Amino acid sequence: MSSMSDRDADRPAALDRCAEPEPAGGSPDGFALAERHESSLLSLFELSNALGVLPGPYEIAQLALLNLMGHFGTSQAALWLLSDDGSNDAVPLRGFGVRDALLRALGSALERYAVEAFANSNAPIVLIELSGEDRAPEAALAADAGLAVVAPAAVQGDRVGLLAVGRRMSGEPYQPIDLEHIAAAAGMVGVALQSARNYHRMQEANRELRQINDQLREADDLRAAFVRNVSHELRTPVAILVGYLAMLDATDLTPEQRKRVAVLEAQCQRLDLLMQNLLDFATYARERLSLQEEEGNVAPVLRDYAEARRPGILQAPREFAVTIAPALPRVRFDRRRLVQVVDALVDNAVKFTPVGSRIGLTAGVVPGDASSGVAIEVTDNGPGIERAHLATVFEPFRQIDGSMTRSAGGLGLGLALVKQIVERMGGTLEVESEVGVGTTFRVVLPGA
Amino acid sequence: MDDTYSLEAAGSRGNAVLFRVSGRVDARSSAQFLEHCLEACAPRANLVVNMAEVTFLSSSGVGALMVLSERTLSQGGRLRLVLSSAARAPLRLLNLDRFLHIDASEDAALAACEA
Repeated sequence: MSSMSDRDADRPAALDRCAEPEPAGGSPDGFALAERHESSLLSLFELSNALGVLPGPYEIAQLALLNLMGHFGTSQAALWLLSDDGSNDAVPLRGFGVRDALLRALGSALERYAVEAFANSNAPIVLIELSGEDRAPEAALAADAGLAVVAPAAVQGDRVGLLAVGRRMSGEPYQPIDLEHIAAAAGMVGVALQSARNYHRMQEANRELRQINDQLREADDLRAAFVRNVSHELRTPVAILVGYLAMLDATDLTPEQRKRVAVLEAQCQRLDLLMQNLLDFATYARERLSLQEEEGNVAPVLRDYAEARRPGILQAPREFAVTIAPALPRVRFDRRRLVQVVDALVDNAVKFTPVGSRIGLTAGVVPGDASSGVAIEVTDNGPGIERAHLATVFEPFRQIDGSMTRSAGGLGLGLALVKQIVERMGGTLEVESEVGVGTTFRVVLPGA
Repeated sequence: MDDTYSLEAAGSRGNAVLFRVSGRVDARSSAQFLEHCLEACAPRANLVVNMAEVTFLSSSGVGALMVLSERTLSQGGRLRLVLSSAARAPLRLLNLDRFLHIDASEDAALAACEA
């Protein structure tokens, strides 16, 4: 630089205050030293503050280099990131005053040099003062490019990066205090680079998790579509069966034949209900259930349902006790869905209790915050559900292992679907159970 | 004085591009400051940065000036500075005020570019 030549032209004002004029390039005296200490602390403070909030390695490099260049008054500085795969590759993060191609070559050279030079100590090395055997070709290359000091950006002894700063514009040498400053800055940069690297890894892990999650969701969509298709396909023959059974029923049959046709019809309806549940669930998972809500009293709906359901329950005799409190509060509900819910719960009770058990359907008032709601309970005095299984009874495709389940059959969709329907109506579904005593499912619909 | 950093790109004056900076030029603002000024760097173009309203110039800010000085020089131009006392202090401490071109006023800096 041309301006370098007039180095001695006029004395800097700061030094004019000193008793002994300091020769340019010599060591600063006491007053200037104190000022430098203060400046060093301020500079490191700025660096540490700023590094605390910087996201990426590039920003870290940019800031650290500007800070160091400003502090030392040099127009050259560079930071390389070492790859963490053990390959000793040094990738230039940022360099000032060094051409890009040279920057890359210098990184590899300096890292080769660093392996030995920083084997025992992470203290910065003044490249331009090396001589004799110490002046390795790699160090000489960097020094010739104008880089005066190199320091490892290390975290607990592990090099994360390499930091180099250029010759000072003032021509002053790097003093021990300056090297301490560089060591401290390089340490901060090391920590910042390491946390940026960890942050990046965490981001990467999160991204992978998101991907897996998306794949799972896709798989779930596929499954739902498959179930929808299968349900449609299965329902068609069942509908045809039901039609032909009705035609058969209308013909001249013996009482024995008529009884068997009735069994076939009942089983067909059952099959259709299962299919309906399956279809609903698949549809719900994809598009959510459609509701046709109305505001009113659930009592007539429940009474009608109980009347229709009673004969089926009494076939394989179980007691079916229905208790509906008078003057239930009005709630919002979908008539068809409510019947589906109660039917699934009653069905569940029938499925998991032996012949002769008692099944109860009750509806009563629950006090609510603003207005009272309705609690509909389906209780049984069956074997009960073990505590460990209670938490999962509402999960799809979940049935408790055991002989009772296998004999009971079903798809394990009922309760999951029921819960979703109830929640869509703004209600809650809870279960209480005690092994050997029985189980209670409680649907609470909030008051309208 | 207002500490908030702001940069005014005051456009071309003759063969110089003029910037007026005010407030704090520190770790928070120096990268932005540098980026904007570097965009104006062109072969043989002079850069005048008026820092008369700068309230604080940190190491990072000085670093940005180092980069600008080197860049303009390597392209055959000059960086000329107008400094507030707050901006001058760190440059003096680093003995940099002898190596950077510092002018007493914006007019003087622009005039020096014409010379």
